[in-house]
Amino acid sequence: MRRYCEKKRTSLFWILLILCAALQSCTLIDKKADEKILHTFAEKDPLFSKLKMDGFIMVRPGVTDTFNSLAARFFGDKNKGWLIAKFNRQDRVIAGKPLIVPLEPIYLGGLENDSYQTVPVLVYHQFSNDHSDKMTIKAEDFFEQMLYLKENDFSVIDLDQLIDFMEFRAPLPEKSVVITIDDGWLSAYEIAYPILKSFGYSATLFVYTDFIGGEKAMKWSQIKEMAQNGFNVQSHTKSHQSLTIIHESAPFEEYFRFLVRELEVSKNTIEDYLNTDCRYLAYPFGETNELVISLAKKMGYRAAFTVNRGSVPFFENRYTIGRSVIYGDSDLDQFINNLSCQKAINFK
Amino acid sequence: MKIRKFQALFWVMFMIGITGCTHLSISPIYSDKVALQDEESLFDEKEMFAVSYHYWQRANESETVKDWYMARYFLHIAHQLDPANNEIESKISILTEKIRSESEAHFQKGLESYDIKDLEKAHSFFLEALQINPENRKAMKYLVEVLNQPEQKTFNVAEEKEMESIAQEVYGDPEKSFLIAYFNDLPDKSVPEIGSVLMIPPLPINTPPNAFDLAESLANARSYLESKQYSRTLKMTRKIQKQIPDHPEALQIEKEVYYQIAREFEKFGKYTEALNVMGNIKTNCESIQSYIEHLQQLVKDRADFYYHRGVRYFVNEELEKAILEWKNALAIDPTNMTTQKDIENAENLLEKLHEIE
Repeated sequence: MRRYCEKKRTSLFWILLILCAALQSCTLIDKKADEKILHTFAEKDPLFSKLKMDGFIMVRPGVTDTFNSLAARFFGDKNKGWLIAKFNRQDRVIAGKPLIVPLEPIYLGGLENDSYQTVPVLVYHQFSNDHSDKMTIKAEDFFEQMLYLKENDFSVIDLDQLIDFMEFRAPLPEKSVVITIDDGWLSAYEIAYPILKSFGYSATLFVYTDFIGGEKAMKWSQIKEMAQNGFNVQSHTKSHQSLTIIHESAPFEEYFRFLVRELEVSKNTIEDYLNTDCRYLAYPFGETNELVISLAKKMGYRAAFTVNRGSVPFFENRYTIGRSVIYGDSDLDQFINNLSCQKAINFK
Repeated sequence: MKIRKFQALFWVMFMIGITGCTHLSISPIYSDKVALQDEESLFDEKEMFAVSYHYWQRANESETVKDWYMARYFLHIAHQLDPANNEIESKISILTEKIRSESEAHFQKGLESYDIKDLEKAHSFFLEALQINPENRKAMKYLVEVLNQPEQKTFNVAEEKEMESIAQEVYGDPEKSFLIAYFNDLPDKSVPEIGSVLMIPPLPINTPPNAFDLAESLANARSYLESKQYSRTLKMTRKIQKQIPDHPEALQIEKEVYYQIAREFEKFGKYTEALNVMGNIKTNCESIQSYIEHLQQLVKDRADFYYHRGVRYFVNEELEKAILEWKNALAIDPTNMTTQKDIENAENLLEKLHEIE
């Protein structure tokens, strides 16, 4: 009996030992998996697998995958996660559930059989902490507007993305918006910049170069800092004079040389200071004419902007792209009215 | 004892192995196949078939709403994952042809609308052509470039010419040669190579009109007149006169238009209308004056004709018919007071007769 008990005790011990060992092995495997997840992104995720086919990739996402991580992996651009989400009609990645990553050009121009996409391009000028007027927006109002964009899932895109969309090269998230700030006022740096940064947004600064370095204007060092943090700096001409006023008393050649100077000097100055391409132009007062447009094209501007209110479809003339000025005296509802992202069409 | 310990150790190791594998196989998100491979893991057939079926269904959905392009893409995915399914393959071929032909048909309709300057319709057709087939580059070009931008003017250098002469020819102003030079990357006073094509930049709208535009507009007006496109001719002459009021040649063309229209009216016996049209002619000359007098005479004759028929009815005591004829005469010549008076008399008489009856 004693022997029997001893035997039983020994067996129990071994069973316990085996269980412990088994548990330990499980823990080890889990730990390993965690380490992989933590240290190797999805690259070594044991769950992750992919199958490259003609025109698409079939993916079994790993536990750490998100649409953005998959977009980064397959498109080289994490901002295109929305495309995979939309194509798969999923709002989140489910580990292990196969997804299709489309490699064909789809959703171009946001053109569907009953609508097309439009992109609001907003224009701001000055900002203030304590007052507002027509061209000056209060910091709290600007914050509220950016908050609205964030809460309503707007993607703030840059001008390259906008023009790629217009050239039918790349699709955009359904709710995309461009933020531009004209002139180069110091308040853009002191007030708008921190607010935009806090939301993870960037904007395009259309500066007129004669103004930069002035008392109420930004300094080149400040513009450079913004550029280094993802802001785009483009031309608003050299002196902000209207490009369409032709003085009949002066020779036509004088007018033309004025145009060349306005477009060329600003472009060169920006490129010299920031060591980047200056490829977009905002006409002062939004005014332009055929000659100015031809000149902008000749000088290598990829697109140019007016202040004609309304969101932009892909087929808009690239040299008269409309923008909606956001005035300091407009309320949130008026701001929202500028955010139309789709236009219905009725093909008969 | 040692052997027993070794056996136990063997069993421990064996159980650890089993348990580890069990752990992998029971975990809901880890599959043994995947776990054994690093990255390029395979999907099993069932899984691929399920995804294929899903995209087959989505293709049907898209086809229902006539989104054939997406339907074809979904079918393509379905087919890649289930290559043995011949039905998908044949459906892809049908859709491919449908996308091509429908898109092309809409593009052609767009072109027709564009040719007759119905730009709104053209835009809609091009947009639809592109929606059906986003790869239709022609539709894209018309939608984005042709409809949006004015045609770029060019100048073919056929003979040796100085820049000033070219500027004179295209702008009517030799001093604008610098503009052509700038846009073509040529020195200001250069002579462009024969055979080269120069880009001619547009002038801003508020620049004074130039001889070239005038010549072109006059040529267009003449050509419209020759092909009897009277409204287009008048549109062109008005455009010229907006720039240069009372331009003699534009006025002459205009006069010719009105004369031709009046002749058309005259041919169909519409003398009053013909006379009204001739009233638009601003300049006066003998031939015009005599034609107007001729029309006035015709109008008068026609009015007299109705008047006399009215008189005949009146004499025969057919008052209602008389009134009708006189009214016709009055419509042609409203200034004729005699006719007006006769109508009033006849109407009074008729009224009295009705009262007596």
